[in-house]
Amino acid sequence: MSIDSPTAGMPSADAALTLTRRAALAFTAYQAGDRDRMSELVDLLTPVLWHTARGQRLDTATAEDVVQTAWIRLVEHADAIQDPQAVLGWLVTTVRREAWRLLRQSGRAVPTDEVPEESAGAPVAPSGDGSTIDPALVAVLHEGQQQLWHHVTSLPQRCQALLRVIAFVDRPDYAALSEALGMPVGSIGPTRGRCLAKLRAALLADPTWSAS
Amino acid sequence: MTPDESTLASEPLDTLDEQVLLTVRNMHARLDPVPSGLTDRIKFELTLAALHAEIAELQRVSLAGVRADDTAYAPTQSVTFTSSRLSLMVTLTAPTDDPDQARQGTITVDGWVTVAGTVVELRVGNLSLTVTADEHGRFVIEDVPHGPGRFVLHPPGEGERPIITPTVEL
Repeated sequence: MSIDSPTAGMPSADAALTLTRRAALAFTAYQAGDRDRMSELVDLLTPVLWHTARGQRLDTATAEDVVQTAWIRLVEHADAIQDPQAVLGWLVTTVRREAWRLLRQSGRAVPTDEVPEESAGAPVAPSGDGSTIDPALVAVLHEGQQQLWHHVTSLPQRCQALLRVIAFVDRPDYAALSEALGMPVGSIGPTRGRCLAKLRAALLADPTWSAS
Repeated sequence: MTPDESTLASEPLDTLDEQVLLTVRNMHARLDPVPSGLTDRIKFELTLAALHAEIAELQRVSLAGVRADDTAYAPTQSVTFTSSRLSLMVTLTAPTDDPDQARQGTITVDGWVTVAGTVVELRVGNLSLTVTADEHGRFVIEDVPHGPGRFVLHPPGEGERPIITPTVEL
């Protein structure tokens, strides 16, 4: 068994332009009056925001609303954002707060950033959890992905949410993103941090896992 | 956390971490992808928010059939939009046998808007075509590519909010 090629679709860590940097360029141009660049920004950052919302255990319809709301807020507050490098963090924070507000309103799950890390060792899927993935979908994953799925869902909920978002950005952006997600400093980047260490330890302890 | 995990946690990220995160990314992208059309819906909402626009309603679509003349068979389609302040009717014609090769594969939009002097903007993809309706409210937009498009109408007068139509297939 092998894991996927590290080159496919993954922006390399030493790429000249990280996601944050590319977003900053588009946003700066937008602020300067090139309104069409907002469209580029939407294409660039929506996947990260989608996985932020879904990682907060929102169902798909609510996640769509929350992501859309974050974008509308950005356009409304575009002039107030001084540092274009901060635009990704700003959007992620907005998605997380909006998700938290809706979850609290619906009286449902406790937001992930208030769950003590060590309290949840087992797969977390409380009833009514909107983020539950259809088991039939998991079945279509190839063997390696199914194994990874098993290990990822065994992580504490907040680690699952963190790694899910981090996986969609570039290495230099990890620390800033983890902060935007409300994680303590050092959760990930420049060191591995606890969440990724847990996953790595689990994978290394799995005799059927191979990183070749 | 085991001592082993503590050691792992304090080490710098390496290429194996990058590979693990890539597989995590691929797994989530496969299991729970961004819903199709979400980015387009967001862009549309942002356009409305930026314009403070009013949305017109799609009132009627009719196929005017096939008009035959000496030179061309030209299928035409009429679409009517209404809003609180004006109505817009457009007829879409696809010249199938235009002698001008450059015109092949494009359409002509003949329109009529109830407020004379309205500036009519047609957005198709990244293209924006703008004309001003004459004193009778008539306008023509030529060489329009096929694809989903919508009209943004700017009625004359200071401070008039624009009106935007739903997307129609051109």
